[in-house]
Amino acid sequence: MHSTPDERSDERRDDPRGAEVTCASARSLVPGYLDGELTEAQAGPLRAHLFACPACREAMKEEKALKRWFAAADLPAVEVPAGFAARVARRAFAGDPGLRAPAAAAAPLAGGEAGRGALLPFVLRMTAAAAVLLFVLAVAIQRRSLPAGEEMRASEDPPWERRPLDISPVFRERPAVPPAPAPAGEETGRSGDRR
Amino acid sequence: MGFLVMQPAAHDDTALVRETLGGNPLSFRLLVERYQDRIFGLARHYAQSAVEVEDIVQDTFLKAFRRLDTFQHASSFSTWLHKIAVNTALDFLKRAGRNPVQAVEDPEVLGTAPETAVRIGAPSARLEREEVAAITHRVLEELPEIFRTALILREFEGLTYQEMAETLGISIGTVESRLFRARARFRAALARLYPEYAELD
Repeated sequence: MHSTPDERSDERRDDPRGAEVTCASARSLVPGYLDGELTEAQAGPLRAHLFACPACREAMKEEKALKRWFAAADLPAVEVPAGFAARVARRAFAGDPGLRAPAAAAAPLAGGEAGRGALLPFVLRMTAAAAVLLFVLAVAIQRRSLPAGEEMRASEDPPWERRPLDISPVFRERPAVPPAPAPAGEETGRSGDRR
Repeated sequence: MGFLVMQPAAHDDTALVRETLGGNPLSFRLLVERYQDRIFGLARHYAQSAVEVEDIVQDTFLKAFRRLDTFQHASSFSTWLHKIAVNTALDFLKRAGRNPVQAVEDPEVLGTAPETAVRIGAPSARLEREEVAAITHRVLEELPEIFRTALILREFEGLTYQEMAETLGISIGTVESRLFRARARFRAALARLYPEYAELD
């Protein structure tokens, strides 16, 4: 999948078979030895080398120290939620009701991958329908708000213009009166009210 | 009557796969039950909560179901499923934006990165198991994807080099090389993040 330029070749594993092990080859064999991946033909000469070489023994101790981090970090198994397998199997068959799924097993499910797959087209359809409905509604409201036809326009003003405005002289004169000092932040709102 | 017909006739993976493809949900359920512990164990190394773990595992099995007809029996079902699980977990990490190091494109990963020989000691006996686990997983999160996955598959899942090679689609030589580098990087990251465990020459 991801190969690196200086990968070791598979043949390298067989290099020290039966041959004398050097310090360099011993260092490269130690991880495989601790992982239990060496054949006896490889492990035997390595053991002999380790017996005679304190430096390589030290290197092996370091490898072991590292492995103890992983061994200590391996927590107890995760508790699988009750009914997980049944749920997954049901969803799998519900999401793929083709050749594999018997009709009885293809029960619709909310959520899950299969559910999500079926939900998207439905949501898109509903969104489109809602958009069309909103558009029609907006047009209808607009038409009701405007004078409809010649008769309406010719006969009378819109209702809101027929009602006499109750604006007292006090109100008309009010802009001439200097406004009372207002706390900061409220001024905009108040001036809006006056308008 | 129908229920009896749906009972799996055999219980090895190959038969269960065949029966699932034939439309028997109970056979697929048995497959899930057989491997759910291992896939949950694998997924927890990539997730940060129980909900995330369950999402990864569920996604893994649903993907496996959809691709079941492509399972060639060239490798074991377990290896095939692990491959899907690893890819699902890595996709999950990418979607969550949790691993900034792009394994394939990163020249430091590809090239001859300076994997200095940092020495670290074994975890102190005074440390609680949970504390060691927290440190180890914190360090693993620092590693590029390919190295983290190599260590998880080997050190926690106990896969052999052959199984790792099949799961990751690489040669055994590459598995060895990747593990060698992964361990060197783990040491370096541990010493950098927790210098109290570095050993000076």
